Amino acid sequence: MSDKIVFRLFSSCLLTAGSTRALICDPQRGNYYTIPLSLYSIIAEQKKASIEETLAICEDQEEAEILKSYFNFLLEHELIFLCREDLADNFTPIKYEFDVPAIIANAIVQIGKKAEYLVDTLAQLKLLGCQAFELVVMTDCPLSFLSHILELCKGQELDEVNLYIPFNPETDYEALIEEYCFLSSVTICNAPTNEEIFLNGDSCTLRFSTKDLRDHRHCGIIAEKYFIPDLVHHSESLQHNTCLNRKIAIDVNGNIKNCPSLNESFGNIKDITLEEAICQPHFKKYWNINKDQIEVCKDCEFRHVCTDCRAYLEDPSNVYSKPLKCGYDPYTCTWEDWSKNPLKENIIIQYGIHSIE
Amino acid sequence: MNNKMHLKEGLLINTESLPFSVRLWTATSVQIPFKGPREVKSFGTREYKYKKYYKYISRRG
Amino acid sequence: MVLILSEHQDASTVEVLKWLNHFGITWIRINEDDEVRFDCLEFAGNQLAGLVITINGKPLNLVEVKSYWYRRGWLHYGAQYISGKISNHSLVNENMHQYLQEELDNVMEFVHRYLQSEKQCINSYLSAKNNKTYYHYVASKAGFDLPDTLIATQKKDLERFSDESGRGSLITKSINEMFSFTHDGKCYRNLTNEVRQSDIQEGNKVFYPTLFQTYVEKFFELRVFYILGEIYSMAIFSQLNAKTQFDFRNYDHEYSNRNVPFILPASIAQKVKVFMAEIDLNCGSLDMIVTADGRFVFLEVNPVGQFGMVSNPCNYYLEKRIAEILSQ
Ligand code: SF4
Ligand code: SF4
Repeated sequence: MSDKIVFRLFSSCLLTAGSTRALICDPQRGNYYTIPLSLYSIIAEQKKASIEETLAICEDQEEAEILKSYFNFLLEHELIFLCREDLADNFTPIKYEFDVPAIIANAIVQIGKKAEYLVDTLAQLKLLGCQAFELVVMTDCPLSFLSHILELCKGQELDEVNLYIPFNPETDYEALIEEYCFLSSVTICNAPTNEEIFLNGDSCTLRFSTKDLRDHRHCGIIAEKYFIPDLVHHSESLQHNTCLNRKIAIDVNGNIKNCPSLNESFGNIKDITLEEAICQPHFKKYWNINKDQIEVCKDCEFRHVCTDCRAYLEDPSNVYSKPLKCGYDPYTCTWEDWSKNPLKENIIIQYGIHSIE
Repeated sequence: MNNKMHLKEGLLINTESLPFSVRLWTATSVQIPFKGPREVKSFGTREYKYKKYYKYISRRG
Repeated sequence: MVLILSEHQDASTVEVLKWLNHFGITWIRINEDDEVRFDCLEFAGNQLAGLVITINGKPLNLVEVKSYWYRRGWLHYGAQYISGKISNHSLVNENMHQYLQEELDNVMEFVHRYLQSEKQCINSYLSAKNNKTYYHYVASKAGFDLPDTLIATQKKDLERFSDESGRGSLITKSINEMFSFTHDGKCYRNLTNEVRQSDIQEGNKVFYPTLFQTYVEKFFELRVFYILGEIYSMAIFSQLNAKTQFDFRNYDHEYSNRNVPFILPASIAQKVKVFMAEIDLNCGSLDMIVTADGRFVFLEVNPVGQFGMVSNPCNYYLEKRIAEILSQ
């Protein structure tokens, strides 16, 4: 038996190569790191080599010093480990399978004045296995109406509810969140301030925004703060669209859609069941559009921590176009403000986004 | 914070009739999780622990 | 229909139920505190024609159950004992109660035996008792490497065990299950602890039976989930982190362990299968240690261990797999 000690990437650390640099994502510790492509290929190859052997291949002393500092970085953050050669192959890569026990896994439901179809809609979603809900109250929201909605959610034993409601100075939001512990986030729109408070032992975020975030045109933002270094997300991202896969939306008029920002309607909740809507030929058309098929994104090192958007595109005529609201350029590795990009001005107007800013 | 059990405080007095290891047991403060437990009848449980599936359903800003 | 015996706070059960719902399979869950009563058993024409129990008053004919998962817990049929006085004589009372209990125990044991032998089943109540000492013995016969182990009552035996050359340091843990209780806002637990020379010297001469083991220097730990011949293992690197050197349940929230999928060498996988067959468990979680020199050391098996902690980091979808097995 050989006593050679080789290095291995912890398979819990997920590698993604972009065209200019690569990413090591570390979901178990909620981190990610950008690395040069040269280092990426050394780690990704999984050649059973020792650090010494790898350093020996370097062309000169300078290159060896740089590589040494890379190894120090990898060891310090516990991204790689050292292991006997004969055990190295037993450390198998993670299988990037994705599945959730749900036909529809997350839903956006806009609620109008009477919320008349809400019970039925929630009950249907529950039967489809839906795990997470976004409820957007499009009208005024006096406390009595809010309590009514929350009681319906409680009655349906919903898991994860994200609520968007207009500001109402009379409501004690903190007390409400304490009472309804299934709430994951509550966003108060048109509020006097911008503020974020974490409640219920951090399991619920109470967010105040001066904007009217109920308007779907605010959606589709791509930014580092929305990156998700997570194994399930990564696995889903390899095969599916990370925003629209197993998603459904019911707008304020009862129209069944893929998301409130996508215009196509698959029928009305008054006339057909959600299951019938899902069975329509085009309902799932976005579900399998993954980042490897999307222009520019396919060259981006962030593509599997990023979440996609198919409703606002740089080129609305091309379904594989890059998300409009992304300011990242993976060829130069720089971020800019997408809304100030002169090339995007016309499209922003076309989508009607300019009028909400 | 971990600390060893304070036998001197008289919690367990007759150590002769206890395992050798009793003086090595750990004492930690009890932490009460905030969320739940909540009854979910449809899964037949009174202490439902929610497994989070989705971080963001939409990204509005 | 799938029958599941579990405990009401068990999170893994819920995740499996979500998959069963998704597959459109009907299920009944019995928790440890649901009131179970024996109702009726009937043999007719040389066959079992009916076996009915009630759960919180609702009848369930076990003949109609297709598959069965013993996750955890027990059938709480205690309430069916006549708890009031039968006679004014306490001795008569006592004898009668004992007799009644034995009568009921007998038929309820049959319920468990029937479920585990006649149904597509995962685990069973009757083999899920954690007979750690016996399991250790069986593991030795299955050819596993084991830590030297002493269960002793006297300091002199402990000293001798500790002095034996080449043993290095010792640890102690429960003979049976981990034990914990809360008192005055503190939670007391007997985790795995190191036994130092000074502990031995300061310790009592005679003590209640206590388990000691040689400390096995680990390269990493292994958690092996076994289910009906399938093996799913995970390597846990906790050594990186001095705080969790002896037991990874002493959780360090700042710098968490590394949990990664691992494939057992064929010879070890074979031993796992032989061992599980020998102790008559078709599902369980095994703990092992892999040493720096590549030895696989068996520590223990937990018949009702948490498999979610293996399933999630390794993307094994064990909850889905269990639901699939139950749907067959
Ligand atoms: S597709 Fe775009 S607009 Fe629609 S929900 Fe997703 S991010 Fe928002
Ligand atoms: S280019 Fe932008 S949208 Fe595309 S993957 Fe990269 S960060 Fe995400």
